[in-house]
Amino acid sequence: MRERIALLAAAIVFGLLHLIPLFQGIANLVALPAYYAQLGIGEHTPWWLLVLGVALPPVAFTAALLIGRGRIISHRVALLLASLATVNALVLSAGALAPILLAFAAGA
Amino acid sequence: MARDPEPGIDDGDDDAALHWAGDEVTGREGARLPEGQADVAETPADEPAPAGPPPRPGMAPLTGLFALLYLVLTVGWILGTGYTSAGAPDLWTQVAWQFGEFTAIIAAPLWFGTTVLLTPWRLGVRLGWLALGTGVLLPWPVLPLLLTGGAA
Repeated sequence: MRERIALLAAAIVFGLLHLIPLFQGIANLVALPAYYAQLGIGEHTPWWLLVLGVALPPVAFTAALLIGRGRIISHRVALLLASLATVNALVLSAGALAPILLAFAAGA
Repeated sequence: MARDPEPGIDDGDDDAALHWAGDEVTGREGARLPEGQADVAETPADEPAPAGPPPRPGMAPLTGLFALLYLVLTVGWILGTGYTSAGAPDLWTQVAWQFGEFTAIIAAPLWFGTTVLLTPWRLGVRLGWLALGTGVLLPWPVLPLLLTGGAA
């Protein structure tokens, strides 16, 4: 019973922490196309990267929960922590990739 | 008040109590134990029980190789976070961004540690997850540093 409560608490905490990159992804999805359109380069909007930024946090969180099924609580927390860190790393990678993709698109 | 032992129980003939009629015919001697307990009783008490299957050959060197690779990824992320910015000056965005940068730096060691923790005897699965992690956790923000050779 105590382990179930601890697991639920961990899932809630890490679920909330996964919301931060999710909100960043949604903000990018809303703001970046408008910004690119304002600059007159709307056709170069990296849609796949923006959609990935929104889809990745819930997908990674769900995957961490599913992979951790049947394992001990410490292993499940390790999985959730690794998921959160990976998602945040990918958010930064997406931010770095967007101007590179734009440069390639503009050069092509 | 101490009770007197029942007659016949404490008459000192323990060996007789551990034998069954007909043991001499079947060749059995001594006390009988259930099948499973006989083996346990023969195991020396100071010998540690095996914890699981032995590690696969090649697991340690390959894991060590990936450890080196993940160390490089971590250094890449430490350098790469110097080239990222929140883009907004408000406190909440700054705090969230700093938290994101910190977790991005520890993402590679966390992926490595979690993979090693969860795949103790599965070489193929471990190598697969470690290879996937090297692809996923490539530190793209460090690219400006690599392109400019540190002049930026």
